[in-house]
Amino acid sequence: MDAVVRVAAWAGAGLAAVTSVLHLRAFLDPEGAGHGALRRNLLVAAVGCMTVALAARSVTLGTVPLSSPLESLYAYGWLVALVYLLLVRGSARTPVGALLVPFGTLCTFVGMAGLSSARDIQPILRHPLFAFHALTAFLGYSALSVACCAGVLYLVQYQEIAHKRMGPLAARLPSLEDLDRLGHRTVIFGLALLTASILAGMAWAKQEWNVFWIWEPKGVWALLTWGLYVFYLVARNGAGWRGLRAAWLSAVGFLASIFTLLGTNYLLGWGRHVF
Amino acid sequence: MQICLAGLSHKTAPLAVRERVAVMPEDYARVLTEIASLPAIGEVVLLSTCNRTELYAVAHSYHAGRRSLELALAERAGAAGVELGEAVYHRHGADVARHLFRVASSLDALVVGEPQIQGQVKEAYAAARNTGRTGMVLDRLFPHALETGKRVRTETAIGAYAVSISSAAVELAGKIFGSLEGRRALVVGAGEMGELTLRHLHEAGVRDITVANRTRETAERLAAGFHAHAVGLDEMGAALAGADIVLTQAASPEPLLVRAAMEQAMRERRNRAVFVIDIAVPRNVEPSVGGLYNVFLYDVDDLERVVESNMARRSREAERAEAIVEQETARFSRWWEGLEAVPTIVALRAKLEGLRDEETQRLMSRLAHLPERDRHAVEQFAAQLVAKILHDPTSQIRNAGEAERCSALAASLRYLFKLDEAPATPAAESEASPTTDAARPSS
Repeated sequence: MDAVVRVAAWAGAGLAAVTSVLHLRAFLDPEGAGHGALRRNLLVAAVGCMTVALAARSVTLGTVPLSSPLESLYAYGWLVALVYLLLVRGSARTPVGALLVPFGTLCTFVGMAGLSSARDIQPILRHPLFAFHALTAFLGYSALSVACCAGVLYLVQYQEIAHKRMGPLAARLPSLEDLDRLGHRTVIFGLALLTASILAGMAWAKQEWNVFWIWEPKGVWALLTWGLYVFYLVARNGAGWRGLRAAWLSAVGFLASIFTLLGTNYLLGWGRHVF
Repeated sequence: MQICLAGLSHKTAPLAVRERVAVMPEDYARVLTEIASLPAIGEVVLLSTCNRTELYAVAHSYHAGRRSLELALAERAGAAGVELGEAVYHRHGADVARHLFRVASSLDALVVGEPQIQGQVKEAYAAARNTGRTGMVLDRLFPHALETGKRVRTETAIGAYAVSISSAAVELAGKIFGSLEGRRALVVGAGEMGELTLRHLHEAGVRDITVANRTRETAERLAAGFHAHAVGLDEMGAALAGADIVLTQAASPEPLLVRAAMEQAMRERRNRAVFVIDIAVPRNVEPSVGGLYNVFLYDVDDLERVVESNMARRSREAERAEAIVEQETARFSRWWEGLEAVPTIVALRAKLEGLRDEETQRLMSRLAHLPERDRHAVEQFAAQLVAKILHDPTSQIRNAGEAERCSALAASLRYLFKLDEAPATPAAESEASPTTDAARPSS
């Protein structure tokens, strides 16, 4: 089984690296880029290989392959590519792809080491609620990284238009409204998953420790991040914070979610989420 | 045989002259027939747009062709009562190809990169072709020009940047809203200046247009063309909150759209983005409106700056386009010069084959005693020897590459084999005329 994991994981990362170059090229040199079908098919193939690798890894571990930070990073790279394939369409596809696909690929390469180490999985991690809790959280963060990407591109395009530059960069980036809508859509998707993850985590905590909530860093930060995105939706739809402010919020919100994901483990290093 | 061009364009003649000489599409066939009947003219294509009237022809010799084309233009001008004077320019040989390739690539245009010219070249060629005025040379030159224009369009960004106020405004709207399909617009003032911008917006899908003007009748006149509704200036406020795009062009000493009104409108539309285009001088919109959240305000100066920097970008792209034109001109030249070598090759072949037949016949009369099979073998030997001797010079001259080398080789062959004593061919004629050599770009 380990051989399957290794081969499929490397194949996925390798294909992703090739298509990363193609995605970057499509943005930087639109005339010489050629067909989008090849780029896309390669990415689909890469995601397919990664799926095989992670499925095989799950069988080995007996639970979802999110048991160590590096392993999670590989899974995160996989989900970023998957969410990109599923959610990003139209004019945003090329510029968002040029940011996200190389980013996801980098995550898989760094996370590769995590797939080979054999670990003793603590029995509580074999619980199906853990699988649901962790998977929805990661899928949510992937969607929020797409939202962040849309927000950053919005800020760049806004600079071009508001400062009346309108150079070649503006020509290649999608319209403000398309980026704003992509950000909104992916925040809703990500927030829904984050909510599901927190609820599942609470149910799981109730079963294991007989309490719904334990005050510890990751939980607090997750709640803060969740609150930020709720604020995003309320402010955008209720107070007319569409456009620029929404773009800033999705960028800041993503920083918070990255800290929740990694910072609480590596910088603070204590709490119920350290296994 | 020589390719010639005579014409006038926006670079050499004022509009008053150009419009008199220009040929309407319905007159193309008649004018082409007239020109084709002139002395020395073989093939001819007429390209006539509002910026240029040009005659492309293949003539027996350069001088005769030039005279005929000049006459044709002068007659048209004379009939219309204008003096051409220095306005007419002439090209010949590969320079004609270079000129046409630049025209088809929109490098010779008033606004470099404007796309219409390619269609116009295509139509001009089709008109001449359909009336049977083109032949081997122009049937190669014009498709090659269209191909060059297409190459320039796909390989450079020469047409990518908006270079007029109205197209820049529409491009900007696209960068703010994405699709303009179903967007609402408010036009303040009913002047003609904004009509072009409005037309562009309408073509891009903007519907539900309101025209507000001080006098309602004038507003109705502009509104009629776009299925828009007209209102008085006092009702402008009501339409403001619904408008995604506001275009102001009214003659008014003080601003018609003030910050407070826009603030109110933005509250009502919950900060959905608004693009305000103010092309009036003095400005109709208070500059502070541009500072409101999600309001994008562009005045005439802003748009002109965009246009200017786009112009600069286009001219950078034009340099890359010129390189493509040079490549294609060289390619055409090779074909054209190779074509000039064809008569030489034909003459050489005729001469050697004539000698072969002569000698074989003489020999055969003395070999009557041999069996049929042997006599046939002797004939075959002679035929093969001549074919083998011809093979190398023929392929060498065809593949000589550069134009000047090719014609130098042809000249040597003609001298060494005394080919010019053979019956005259078109190439022989052009060799005899020193102007043809001078006509080549390389000399």
